[in-house]
Amino acid sequence: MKINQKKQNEIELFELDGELDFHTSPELRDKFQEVFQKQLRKVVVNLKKVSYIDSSGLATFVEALQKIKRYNGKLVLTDLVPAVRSVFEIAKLDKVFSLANTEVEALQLVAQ
Amino acid sequence: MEKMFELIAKSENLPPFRVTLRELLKQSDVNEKKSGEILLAVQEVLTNVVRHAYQGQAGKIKVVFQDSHDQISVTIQDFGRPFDLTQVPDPELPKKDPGGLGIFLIKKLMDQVEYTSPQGEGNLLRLVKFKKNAPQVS
Repeated sequence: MKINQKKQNEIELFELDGELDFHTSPELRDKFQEVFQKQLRKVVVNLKKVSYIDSSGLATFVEALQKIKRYNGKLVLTDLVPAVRSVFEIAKLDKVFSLANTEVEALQLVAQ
Repeated sequence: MEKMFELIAKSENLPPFRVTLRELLKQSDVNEKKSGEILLAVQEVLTNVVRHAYQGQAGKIKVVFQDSHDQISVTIQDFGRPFDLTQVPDPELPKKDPGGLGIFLIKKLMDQVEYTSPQGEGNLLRLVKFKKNAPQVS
């Protein structure tokens, strides 16, 4: 799993590349720790290059959303490929997360 | 067609096995959506074995992949702590806390999930996915 992190205006943008599973999700959880510690309020995660996610990956995002919401921050996920979106839908997490179709849309959503 | 595999229960062994399974599914005539569902369900079972059956110990896992005319079946056997995941009730969705979705996904994604604990030792799970959808009853 490659994790690219950059700042765009006041928004923290993560670009993930690879498969998010039980083995790789601890790496993402570690990256998110910095977000929580600094209480970064606007976070976008681009999943365009994530072809696979399992329940550990979902749990990582659920935990991140909970922690970011605690300090009134926003987390938006964008560019989910159909296979990944389908796992979110099966778990009904598409009702919980802000899911954008494009990065532009995600940046607008998180900035609101 | 039948293929047998033996794995050591470590998280780093899961991604390479996923590559192997993906290749086998590509060779079968099951569609891409169902392949993805089988792949995810099997990985969730293997993750459970690593985390719960062996609790971090590097135990042995046997996997048998069978591709027959109407179904794909994958049998996963471990020799760790017995636990019948088919008895776990489905969670209320969407879950508010992280975790606890793996067993739900296994049951949701597969057409059949059968559990036995041979001689009360370890776990044997058989996952089945039918290649064609069951006809709708009108």
